[in-house]
Amino acid sequence: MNAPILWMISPAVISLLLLTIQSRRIRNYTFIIVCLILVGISLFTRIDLIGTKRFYTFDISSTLTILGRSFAIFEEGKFLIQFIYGFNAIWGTSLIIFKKSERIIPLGLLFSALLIAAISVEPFLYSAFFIEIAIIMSIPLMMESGSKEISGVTRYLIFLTLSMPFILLAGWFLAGGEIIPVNPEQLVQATLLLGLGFILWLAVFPFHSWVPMIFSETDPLRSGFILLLLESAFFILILKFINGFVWLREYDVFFQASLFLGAIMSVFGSIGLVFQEKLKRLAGFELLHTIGVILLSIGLSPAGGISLFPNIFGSRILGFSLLCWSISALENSDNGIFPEDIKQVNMLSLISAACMIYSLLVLSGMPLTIGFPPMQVLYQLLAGKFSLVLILLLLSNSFLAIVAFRIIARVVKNEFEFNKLLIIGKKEIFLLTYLFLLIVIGIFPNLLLPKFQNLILGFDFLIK
Amino acid sequence: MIINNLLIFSALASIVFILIASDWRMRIAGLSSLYIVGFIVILQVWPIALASVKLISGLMGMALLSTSQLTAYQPGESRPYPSVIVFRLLMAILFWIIISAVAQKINEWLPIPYTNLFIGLSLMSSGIIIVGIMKRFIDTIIGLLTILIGFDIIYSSLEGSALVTGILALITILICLLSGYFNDVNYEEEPE
Repeated sequence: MNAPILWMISPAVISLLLLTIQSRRIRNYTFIIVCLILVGISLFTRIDLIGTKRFYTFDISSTLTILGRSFAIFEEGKFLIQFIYGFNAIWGTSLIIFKKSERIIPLGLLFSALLIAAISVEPFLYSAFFIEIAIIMSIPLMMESGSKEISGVTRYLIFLTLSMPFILLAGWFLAGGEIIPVNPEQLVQATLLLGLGFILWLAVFPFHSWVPMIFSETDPLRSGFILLLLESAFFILILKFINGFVWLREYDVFFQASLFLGAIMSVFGSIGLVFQEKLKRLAGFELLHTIGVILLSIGLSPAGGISLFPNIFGSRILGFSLLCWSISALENSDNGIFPEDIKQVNMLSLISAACMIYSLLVLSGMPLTIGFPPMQVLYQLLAGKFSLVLILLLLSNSFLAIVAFRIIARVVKNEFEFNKLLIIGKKEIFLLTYLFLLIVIGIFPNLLLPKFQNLILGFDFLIK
Repeated sequence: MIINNLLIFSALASIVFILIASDWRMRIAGLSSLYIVGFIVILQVWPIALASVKLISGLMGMALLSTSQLTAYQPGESRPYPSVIVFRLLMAILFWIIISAVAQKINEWLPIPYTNLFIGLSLMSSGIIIVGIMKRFIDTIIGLLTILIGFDIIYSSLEGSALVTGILALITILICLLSGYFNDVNYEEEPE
């Protein structure tokens, strides 16, 4: 047994087998159980174990070779596995509760397995192939067959497919250049190609238009699941690239570009949020803002090390998940409330609105939320050298806070019907539980945030 | 030399065919001929067994595309205005002129046969034109496949690996399958 068979091939096979099960209930529960088992196994296994073995652990090898290329999952990469399958389990539960499970369960496992394949393939430049397959197969997970509004998904397919040639050609340029670039001219060419590939992956301005469009064309639960996982994989791959090439991590222009693009995206996303009246598109613009903030944390890694990245990443994944769930709940709450504005308020819409407001506050880095501690460090690091970027980030976070307060004003303005407020269902309980946990973690961030540091354990050259 | 020129001419003629044809059958026929041209180009650098994987997967993809279109809602494809055809052609020619101008320089970076590089870049740029100016989802798929053929020709000249060939073939087929997924979309054709 080895790690790629366990966490990459088995989930893919199970995902396809689950398709043959007719009963949706059995399929749903099996999906959740399989995800939890995969997380559980990762806690009791040691990959390429050296030294003494405890009675409750079992040893597996790290590498699987297929047609001359190898897939390797090391001990340091186990947190990523736990994150991906834990994410699948939590989002799977939300999809079941919101009755939107029919597409992502069970194929979400196959999608996740493809992302793990992309992250674990060696040489890692081949990850572009697996990303492309994941992108193509994510489209049926997000959209109904024969959907009429497909402009966003078409752009998503075009832009992300265009990124593949750039990454692969850069890979060819860099073959054998892990330690030193072949020559300075090739360094510029390879950086340009890699940069173009990354820009297309991360939907950086001006290739960003598909993100809000996809959110408006699909349910935020589906698009949120796919895009959060996909962007997470992109960021991990970018870190792997930076860690793998010594010249890239010593190339100042790369980090300056990250800072510049991060600032643009965070401001651009938040301006889009302020002027956005449609809830689903709001989630799209918030994703752009989130990508911008994470890019800023990568751009600052020469100054403060990469340790800021996992905290920013973790807090934003937690906050953005709540945003997607609350928007989906508002969109589908009884009486068709809220597609454009809040007109009537029942318990679900009230709780959903509260969750949405809280998630926006988390994402804007308000004190006493989980978004605050990493955002404070980000402010601190930016204040030292990059005051203009700091001003832009403060501006963008203020815009986010304005949106949150505007929603509070709308909710308060409405008339409450007391009878409707007494009805509490599964969705309300799910949202309230998650909201409560997020508030607790916000007050005591050390409960969860330090765990995300395990995400960067494998990137030895980036940790300072 | 003559064969190389012939290959370049065939590739460009196929692109022109895709750009001006009003019927999806013609466009898919043009794309199929691009796969055949691509196969002959790749045959010069790869063994026939590996090169034929690309041809077979491409033609399988074309069969999938055609099958999906046979059952699809067709909005009644009208012949495009002459100005539309002229615009598309001029756009493609503009790109080819630019590629002719820069191909020598790019050839210094990418040490592959000039014919492969020129055909590859021409196809990639034409694919970008197709996905950029044509509206229907089938045309987007055709454009993406054109880009991928162009990239395949360039990348095959740089690296020959069974895994890469297999994955690229899989990507081609998956993209073609997507066209069937959205095939009954009712487009409201706007005058271009």
